[in-house]
Amino acid sequence: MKKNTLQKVLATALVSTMAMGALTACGGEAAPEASAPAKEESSAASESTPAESTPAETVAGIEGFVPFESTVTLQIPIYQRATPNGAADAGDNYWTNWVQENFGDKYNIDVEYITLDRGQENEQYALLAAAGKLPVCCFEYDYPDVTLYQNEGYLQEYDIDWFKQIAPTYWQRMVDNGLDAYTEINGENVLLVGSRAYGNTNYQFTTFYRQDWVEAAGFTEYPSDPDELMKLYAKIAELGLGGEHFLGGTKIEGNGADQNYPYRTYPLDELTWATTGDYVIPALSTEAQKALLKKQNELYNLGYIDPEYNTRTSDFAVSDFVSGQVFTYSCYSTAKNDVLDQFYAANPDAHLGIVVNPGPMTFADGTCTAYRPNGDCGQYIGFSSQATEEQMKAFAMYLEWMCQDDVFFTLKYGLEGINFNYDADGNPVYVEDQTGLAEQQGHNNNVDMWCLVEASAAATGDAEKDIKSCAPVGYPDSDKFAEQIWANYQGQLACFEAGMVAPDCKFGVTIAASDEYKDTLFAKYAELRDKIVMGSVDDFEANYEAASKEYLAAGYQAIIDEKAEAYNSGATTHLR
Amino acid sequence: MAKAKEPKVRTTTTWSKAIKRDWQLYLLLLIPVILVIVFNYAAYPGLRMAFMDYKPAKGYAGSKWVGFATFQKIFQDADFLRALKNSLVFNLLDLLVGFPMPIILALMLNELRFMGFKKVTQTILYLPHFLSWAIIGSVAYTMFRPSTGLVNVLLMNAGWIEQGIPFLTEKWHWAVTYLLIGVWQGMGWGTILYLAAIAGINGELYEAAIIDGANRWQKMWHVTLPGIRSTVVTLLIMNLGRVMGSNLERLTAFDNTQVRDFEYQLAIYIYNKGLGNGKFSMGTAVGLFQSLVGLILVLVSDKIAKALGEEGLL
Repeated sequence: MKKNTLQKVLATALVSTMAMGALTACGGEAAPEASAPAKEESSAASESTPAESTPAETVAGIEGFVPFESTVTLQIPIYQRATPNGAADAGDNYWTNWVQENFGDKYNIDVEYITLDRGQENEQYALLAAAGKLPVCCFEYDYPDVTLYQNEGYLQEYDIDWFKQIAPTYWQRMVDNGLDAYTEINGENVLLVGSRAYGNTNYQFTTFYRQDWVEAAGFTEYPSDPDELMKLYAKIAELGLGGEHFLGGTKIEGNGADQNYPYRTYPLDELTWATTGDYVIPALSTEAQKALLKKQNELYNLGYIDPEYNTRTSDFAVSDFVSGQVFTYSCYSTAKNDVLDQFYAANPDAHLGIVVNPGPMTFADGTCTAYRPNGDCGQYIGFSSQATEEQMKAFAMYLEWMCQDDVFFTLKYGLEGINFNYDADGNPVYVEDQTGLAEQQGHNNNVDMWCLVEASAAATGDAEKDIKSCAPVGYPDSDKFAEQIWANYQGQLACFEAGMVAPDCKFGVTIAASDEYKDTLFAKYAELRDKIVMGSVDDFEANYEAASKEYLAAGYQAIIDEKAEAYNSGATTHLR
Repeated sequence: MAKAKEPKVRTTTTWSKAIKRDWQLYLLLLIPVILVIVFNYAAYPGLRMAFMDYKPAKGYAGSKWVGFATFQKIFQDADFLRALKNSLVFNLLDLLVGFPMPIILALMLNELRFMGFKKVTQTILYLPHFLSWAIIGSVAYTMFRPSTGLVNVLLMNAGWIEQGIPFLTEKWHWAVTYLLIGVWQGMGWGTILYLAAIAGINGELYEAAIIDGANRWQKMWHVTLPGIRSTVVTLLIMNLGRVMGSNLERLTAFDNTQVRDFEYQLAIYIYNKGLGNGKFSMGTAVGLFQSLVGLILVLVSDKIAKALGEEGLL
């Protein structure tokens, strides 16, 4: 080929490729405005084939399911999380294929999992919505976020009788757990709610501490009394146990930062609880938050907290603990714990304990043993506004199928002999290390898949067995872990029964100011709280006052006012 | 005597002939033209979001028109004013500190005579441009931590300081470090255009200067710098257009709560209040405002450049 011809061919090919690539980037799915409303589109379709494309209309529940005439695509979100033990892609693995084979193929449904980064759902749902690609359902653990989705138009109303006909088992679970009371936002039935066992506590969230340090400091156990705890800290500092800043510290990240439950005054004032008792938006400007930050300020100025904590991510909490630099490490406890693996490998002579809630107690400094209970609600689930009628049906069928005992058990525990084995009492026990298995379960035994039904590690009905099942096993201190986790649960339950603990207030209407300002306030809180904590003890009062003013002006006052209005109009839950 | 008929010489070419003759070149030109159309102009209809209460799930058809309400809200927002102030101050400082550096560096590189050393130096200078801001930020934090950072440890071990310098954890120190790291990252890559411009200077000018007895410094001052002046002016005008912009990656890489007084710039504002919260209208309105101010700055600086006798950009 002549050089000139070659140049021409190459130039043409290059330009064509680039042009096609660029134009393809512009194509893709139609924008929301171009697509017909879901309901209209689907009703037209169902008019043409009324009987064939409307399964599950005569016999209620799974018995009435018949395959769709034409394939229905069912997109379901699933959290993509860090998987330290090398689990496969959350959206494409053995278990997603298992769902397709055992559910999708049976009813002519193409099940697709859409991965979302945990903690960035708001942003990712917004982008999906803008692209006209919302999955068939949107779900959230945090109630304020789900009201945001309703406000932004991501959700669509459903007919409860219609749902009951397709998914009677799922609906009955909601009724049995009292969750059918939470289906409405702004007067529309938009939510389905998964359950959560032992929701009056947060027993699975545990704080591990260095028992060997406690003993070296002349104590026998981790003190519940804050004054005693300060004495223990002083002794640890004096003895030089661990690193120079043995309480470590990391920057504020994600929802649930700086929870002030032990710093509140009980019994709670209901209006204060409703307006400022928020999990997502920290309550800067309140007395409870002031007490919390005062303690942090004191610990910081004593040098116990890392002076550069505001530049350290949560990874530092792990590395500090594993390297024996810090006193405590908090996480959700499961039988297998990678951090403990590393910790005991690096510190073979060390001993750990789990901090136990001693039951309802109020201390001299005004703090108490209150905590934030998980609540009885697991996932809040809504049908997306971009879902067609067929897709809504397919999703209702999916929920009904998933809450069948055999299916739910398999999704939760996996395959016998591979993911779990039965113990002597006939209870399923997870295989600790599933690394490398094709059938390896994802984060927390596939919880992100089955959380639509129930967000509990174990719920056999035998509380002690269930609670202890999340204790780390196979470690030098495992015998104590199981007892301490059980004792902590009992202590928390006693606090709940004593009226010291209350789930956060839920609003039956969207709080527009909350949706408007929550991200701004979160960023501002991180900035202001660090200024307060890192300031001198003498400046604390002035710093707190100035920060409160700025925070209120940045939108927090608007949120408080709107919540108070909702509370006064009766659109909220109440304290017991 | 009959007047000889002068041959008719065509000095212009019709566009059809030009295309027929150079079609390969025009075909190649299509690549950037298509990219600009697709990514710069095809997005224009989306600007209407700035005048709507845009709900992603409802699309344009389902969202309400709100006129200038979003702009009014933004201009009353204390965070916006803080972001605007910081963006302007830091971009001007970036321009002040960062703009002359590639010129100086290009002049210095041009004076190197040993080609091997020159090429190695150039490669080393270009490298930071290819590092992502995430990497630069994490390396910078590791190196500049007050208590455990390499730089502070070395300074303390040398006895030059008693306490670690908070290079990135105190706002004034942060400002200096942020600007200098920006210069370091961009100056090598920035020399490329200037070196190309220098290569285009007629060698006879240097010969004439040598004959006139000019030393190296004088050649640089009287030949090289005037030779690249139009390039300098063009790039300066283009950079002025970016004075309202800000780089989210760079700011995020150097983020920490104690420097937000300076670090909070428009890119962060747009990300937090726009994209992060699904408030696309707000993000678009600020973006539009940035673009308009940038355009005005370019037009004004172009006028000034032309008034001063330069070619300008437009």
